[in-house]
Amino acid sequence: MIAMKGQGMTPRQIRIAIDNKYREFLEDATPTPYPPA
Amino acid sequence: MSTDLEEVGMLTRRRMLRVCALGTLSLALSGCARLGESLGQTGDFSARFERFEVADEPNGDLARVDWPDFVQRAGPEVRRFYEFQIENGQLMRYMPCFCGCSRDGHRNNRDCYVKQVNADGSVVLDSMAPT
Repeated sequence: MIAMKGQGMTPRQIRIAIDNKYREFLEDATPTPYPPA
Repeated sequence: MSTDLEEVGMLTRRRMLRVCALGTLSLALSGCARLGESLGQTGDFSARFERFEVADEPNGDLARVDWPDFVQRAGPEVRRFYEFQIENGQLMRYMPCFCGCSRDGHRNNRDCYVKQVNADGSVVLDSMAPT
């Protein structure tokens, strides 16, 4: 997270990256909404 | 990727919990530069989650944390994960966990680490991630 903040990634960009990394497991994801755009 | 899926299929539930909870945060901590660079080519799954409400995740005070044995035994990297979770509730309340812990009532990735933040900043930690 520290590194991503340093890269200027927003919370939403981070969330998109994580969801794509674990996209095979989206059915098991917690009910966690996305950060505001 | 099929190798990863086969490996996941052989994991016990507890090991799966650790892999996913720690894996997600590791990804976050490591910066995932390549993922960041390729965001334009990846999907946005926000619609899938838009019906859910965001949890209130206040930050804790690290100076008031009484570190439990399960964190001490797990080593400095795991402790750093806990520290990050304690100090970044406003971000981590938007980050999911994929291990199936939603069936245990977890609402986000932070719930695998932090059970409760008290009014004085002290916290009750969850042992799910490292055990």
